[in-house]
Order: sequence, then C-alpha cells, then structure tokens
Amino acid sequence: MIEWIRATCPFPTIDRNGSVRGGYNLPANPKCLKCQDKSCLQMHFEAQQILVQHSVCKGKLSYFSLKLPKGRIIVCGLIEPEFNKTCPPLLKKSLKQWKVPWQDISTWHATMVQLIQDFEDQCQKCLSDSVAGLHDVKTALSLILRNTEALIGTRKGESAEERLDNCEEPLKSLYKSVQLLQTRLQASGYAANPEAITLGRKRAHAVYRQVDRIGRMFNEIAAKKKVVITMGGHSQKTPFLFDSFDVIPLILIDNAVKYSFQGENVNIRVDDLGECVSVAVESRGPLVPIESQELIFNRGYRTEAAKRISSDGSGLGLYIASLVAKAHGFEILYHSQPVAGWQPGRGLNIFSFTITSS
Amino acid sequence: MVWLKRKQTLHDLDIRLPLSEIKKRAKILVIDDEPASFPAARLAEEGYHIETWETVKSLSKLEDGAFDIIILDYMGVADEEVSQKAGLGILEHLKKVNPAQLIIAFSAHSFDASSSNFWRLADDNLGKPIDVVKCKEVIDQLLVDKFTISHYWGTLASVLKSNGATAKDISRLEGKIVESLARRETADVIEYCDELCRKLGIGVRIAVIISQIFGFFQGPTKP
Repeated sequence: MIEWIRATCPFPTIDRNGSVRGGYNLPANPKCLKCQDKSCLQMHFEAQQILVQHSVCKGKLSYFSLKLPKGRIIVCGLIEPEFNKTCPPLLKKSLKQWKVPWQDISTWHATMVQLIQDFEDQCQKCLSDSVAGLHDVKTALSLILRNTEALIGTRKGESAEERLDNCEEPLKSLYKSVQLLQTRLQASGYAANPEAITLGRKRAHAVYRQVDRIGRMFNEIAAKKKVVITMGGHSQKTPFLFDSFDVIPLILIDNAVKYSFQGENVNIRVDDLGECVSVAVESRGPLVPIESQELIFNRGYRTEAAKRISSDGSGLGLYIASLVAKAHGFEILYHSQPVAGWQPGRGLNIFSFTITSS
Repeated sequence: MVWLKRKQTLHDLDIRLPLSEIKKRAKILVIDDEPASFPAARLAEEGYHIETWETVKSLSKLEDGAFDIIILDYMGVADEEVSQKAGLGILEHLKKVNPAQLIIAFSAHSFDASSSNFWRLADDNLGKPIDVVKCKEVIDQLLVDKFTISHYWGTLASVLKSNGATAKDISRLEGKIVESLARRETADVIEYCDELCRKLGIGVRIAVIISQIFGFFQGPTKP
C-alpha cells in the first residue's frame, strides 16, 4: 500500500532504504540524490503521532513525515516557504521549483487518508459479502457434524468424549476433519468482522491440550507431505481466553505444514513460563526475507516463496492470527534461523507467542 | 451482652449443587429454524433437559421464565412479517422483562457486524456450526457460574436498586424471600413484590425471578 501511495505522490519521496524517487509533479531534488547524510530517513524509524510533521535536514531542505493508516512516507527535498527559516535565500532562489507550502502537502495527505479509508471500507465490504456466502456452507457442515456425531453416538461410552475415544480411526479422522473445517470457517468470520474475536465469555483454556488437539487435525494433511507434527513441552496452566484463541494455533500449524519442506518435522512446544504460557511452532522451509518480516502480519501480504509454494492462499491467515493475539493482549513473533549446510534463504521458521495466565 | 442471631441471607442459602444435579434441574430451550444445527439429541442422551422450537411458539412462556437457559438463533426464529433478524428483538425484550434470564446467542452470523448487539447482550455465545463437546462446555460453564441463587438475587437486587428501591426495601424483600422459603409458601413474597413494583413503576417481572429462586429449593427432577 505504501509503495502504491509513493508511486502516486506528486512530491519526491525517500523510502526506508534511502532510495529517493521523484514525484509525478516534481522531480527528485538533485541535492537529495547526492546527499550522503540522509537525516530525513530517521523519521521512518521514530514513533511519532503527528500526522504531518515538518523538519529541516542538514542540507537546509524541508522534509515532511506523513503518517498514513498503513505506515508512513517521507516527502523530501522541498523548501517550505513559511516554516523553513534556515534555508539561505540563494538556495531558495536556485531551488524555487521545489518550493512547496505546507498546505499543499497537508491537502494531499488528507486526500490520501480518505482514499485509504474508502479503499479499506470497500475491501471490508467485499470480504463481508464473500464470507456471508459461507452461511450455506456452515449449514451443510452442521448436517455433516450431526451425522458424524450420530455415528459416534452408537459407540460405547458414557459421554460424547468417551464415545469419540472408542471410535475407530476413520471415524475419528472424519470428526477431526469436520472440526478443522469448522475452525477455518470461524477464522474467516474474524476477517470479515474482527469484533467477533472478543464475543462470548473468556474461558479457562488448557492451552497444551488445545494446541495438541489442533495439531492432530493436521496429521493427515502433513502425512501427505511426509511431514511429522511433534508436540513437546509441559504446561498445566489454563489462562482465560476467548474461544477465538483456537484460530491462532490453527493458522500457525496450517502455515507450518503448508510451507515445510517435504519430509521435515513441524515441532510445536507449549511450556509454562512462570505465570505465562509460551507457544512456539517451528518448521523448516523458505525463510521470510528480512524486509518482509514486519509485513507478514498485514492483510493480504504474501511472500514470494509463499506464492510459489501455494498459489491459492489469501494472505489472511497471519493477519487474523495477529488480530486475535492483539485482542488477547499478546503478540505473535517471528524468528528465523539458518540451518547449517542449507542454501541461504532456507532454514528454521519459528512463530511464537506468550500468553499471561491471569 | 446480648447476642443477636444474625439474619439469614440468600447468600447463606446458595448451596452449590454438583453439575450432574444442576444438569437434571435445568430446563434448556433451543429456538432455531434449522434444527440440525444444534446437537439436541446428543445432549439429551447425556442427561440435559432439552426442548427445541423452530420458531418462538409462546413469548409469554419465555417471559415467565419457563426455561433456565434459552439458546436463541439470530435469524428465522419468528414469522417473516415480524423481522428476519427477530432473534435480536426477542433477546432484547427478554433481557428487559427478565434480566436474569440466561440466554446463549446461537448463530452462523458472527461475520455480520450488524449482529454484534445480539452477541453482546447474551450471557454467552455459540457459533454455528457447533459440535457437542463445545456445546456441553458452554452450557456447563453457564450453569455452574450463573444457574445460582446469587445470580438471580444479584440481578434482582441490581434491578431494584437501579429503579430507586432503597437498601431497606431490598433487605426487606430478601428477608421475606428467606422466610417464605422456610415456610415453603410464596404468596406473601409475591404480594410484597407486586406492591414494590407498583411503588417503583418497574416493568421487570420480579415475581418471575423470585420463582426462579424458589425453583432451587424444589426437589430434584427425576431423570
């Protein structure tokens, strides 16, 4: 999104890597192209709340940090006639082409904010409309679920859980598949209506058992890739979480299996850490490039490797998982680790998060 | 020194029954136009008292607290002329006349942002499709946490307080309920309730909440 905004910006801009690009109305200032200092770049990395911030660089030129809903862009190499008091008159004269008043920047910024908002609203509407179509799928799935439960009900046992334990493997497998589809549908609903993440009461969740249960749902899919899912660690804590929590392990394990190299293991660990429960999902496959690491949780973002491996992904999984994590007050972290003897760009992908057990 | 006997409160009488006993006592109604959505048969096998309606057959029965838990669908539970999204209207109405009524919102429409109020007003939620294990978990937890004298009395006291009842009114009502329970006779307390409702101009069916409290002291339901 930010790249798209830069491409349509009438003023010159500079990206996080220091690359200066001319605007469609105004070319890049030659002083910026030659500049070694690039002090304007620091604005990319500073947390600031001001929507349109004017500053002057060491070369006495104005630059603006513009806060947008999807990030920030830096407009550089200008001379703001009112606020840039340090620019010598001679420089002002020679660079009069780059004289841009603050109001012009501010107007363009406001238009962009509105456009992004409209675009987001439209995306949300499209998503809601497409997810609404899943209602019939949910109805059909309810029928499958009732019939599967009726079959399970004929097995020995005092409770539904006991009867399920006493089932033969194919029936267990069918039940797990239906549950997998059920949780996937639940996750799609959160993308359409993030408010649904916090609906219902928080319940005590036996995290280890829950993650293990979800991991087992993927056993068959993993087996087709000769991937083995292993469960490790030790946890007895039962933090209070919304039902939506289930979609986090679902998405992380699903991705781990999907993007693992054939024959590699997916290792899941759940451990009690003092008052907290930590969960980590490790898989071996293509690593997320450094420049993409902070984008993988954005809606619709997919790395090139992800697109190559699976063309039908929507880039919603990690976005939904991060929304659910945020609603619970924690964050999903990504780490990569090279594996000795492997080509660069391949290695260990680790997604982890820590839940406070209060 | 004279030792006065401490007045017994409803909190003292709030005996927590085992879940198996609560399950036998609690009457559950599922209102859903798609009966296959809810695992009623499986829950009945496990000792839950489940009744199912495809649409609202009798609003007065719901208002009168005939069911301890109502599992309510969002769409298609009333005549099309009433509203397609009648579930929300019914939920709002029931919570208005009997705020202590336990209601579980049950729908496939969690993706619909306009349904948020439906979910928020309910005591708990079940999203479709739902499996029997999750259903049990949600129902059992609601029964353990809220199918209690404390819940009904707490809700009643809070309704009275918010409608201008004094602490003395509330304490007097509590005393009358405790006395009536000892005598197994409700006429007195209902009469006092009616009087209090008239005085405060309350539309909430206090008598319904009180009968729900009395329900806890009736013998166990035979399976």
